[in-house]
Amino acid sequence: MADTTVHEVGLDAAAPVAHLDHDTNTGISNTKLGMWLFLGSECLLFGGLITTYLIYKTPLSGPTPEQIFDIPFTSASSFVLLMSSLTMVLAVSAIERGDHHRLRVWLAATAILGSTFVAGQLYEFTAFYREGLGFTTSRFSSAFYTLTGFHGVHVTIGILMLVSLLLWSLRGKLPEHRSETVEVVGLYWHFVDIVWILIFAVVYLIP
Amino acid sequence: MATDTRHFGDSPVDTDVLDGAAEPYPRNRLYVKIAIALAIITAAEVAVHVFPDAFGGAGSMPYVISLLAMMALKFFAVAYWFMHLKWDNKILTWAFYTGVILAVAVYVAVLTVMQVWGGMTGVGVDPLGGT
Repeated sequence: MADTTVHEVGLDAAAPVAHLDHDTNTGISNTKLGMWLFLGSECLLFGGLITTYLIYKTPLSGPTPEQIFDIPFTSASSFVLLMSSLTMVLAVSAIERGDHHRLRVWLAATAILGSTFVAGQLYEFTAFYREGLGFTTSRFSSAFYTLTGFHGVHVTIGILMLVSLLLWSLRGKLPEHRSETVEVVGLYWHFVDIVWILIFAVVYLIP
Repeated sequence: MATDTRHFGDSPVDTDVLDGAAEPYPRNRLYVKIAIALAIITAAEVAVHVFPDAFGGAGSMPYVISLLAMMALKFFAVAYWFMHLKWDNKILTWAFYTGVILAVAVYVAVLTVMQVWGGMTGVGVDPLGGT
């Protein structure tokens, strides 16, 4: 399937223009469809990690989840990540409206909220380690660190993409006809958020 | 000459500036309302955890079901509104939910084989040895 871009037809990158119709069988750009298919496959990855955690969550040695989890702290982290989804969707909305100032504000806010979440996760991991929960302490600890660590890596990759978008925007390389780029990164970011919604309930709240 | 499609302010975004959208995207105030609702649901989840006796005790069936219901509500709200599945071409909904349904089906089967469900309510067996 061919995918028509503005560059192929020679439009000025800074000109505010409508999206071109995509010359694909679906009418959707391959990039956006590809991201959705990727996110569908990610469900299987995180499903496997969550399932592994549920199977191994009862430790036969070392600290138990009830002994080490700090629910108020994790709740605050969850709230931060949830609000980053709001700032992300506002960033997407801003570029679709051609409002580059607000785009940068919301992208920066999303990156800061994401960084706060990752910092909180690193603090949590450090606190758990000091309480005697290393990666190989028990089957629970291995499953827990693998699941939440994979999620943390996904958030970190999302932050890098957000910072890249911010830099592109500051250099004038992100005109509104490329709003799809922001939207695709937004899809990834929202997915990271909904995975944490699952982890927060299944891992932290349900004993 | 290219059409100026900028939409400053808080009006719906037309489909001519959107990619793969079947309907215009909403006003920003809808996103804010959804975020407030999500925050309230998160607070409710924490409240269930803090006051488990109101739901039959931690690990009881009402406790687990109420938390899973709120989790599912948040999951679908983010996918439906923030990820624009409500307004986008339905093929994207199928692409995503095919993965979700496949994952749920496969891993529910695995958890059932491993007899984990009883363990969640405190009456199950431990199917695996080790540390």
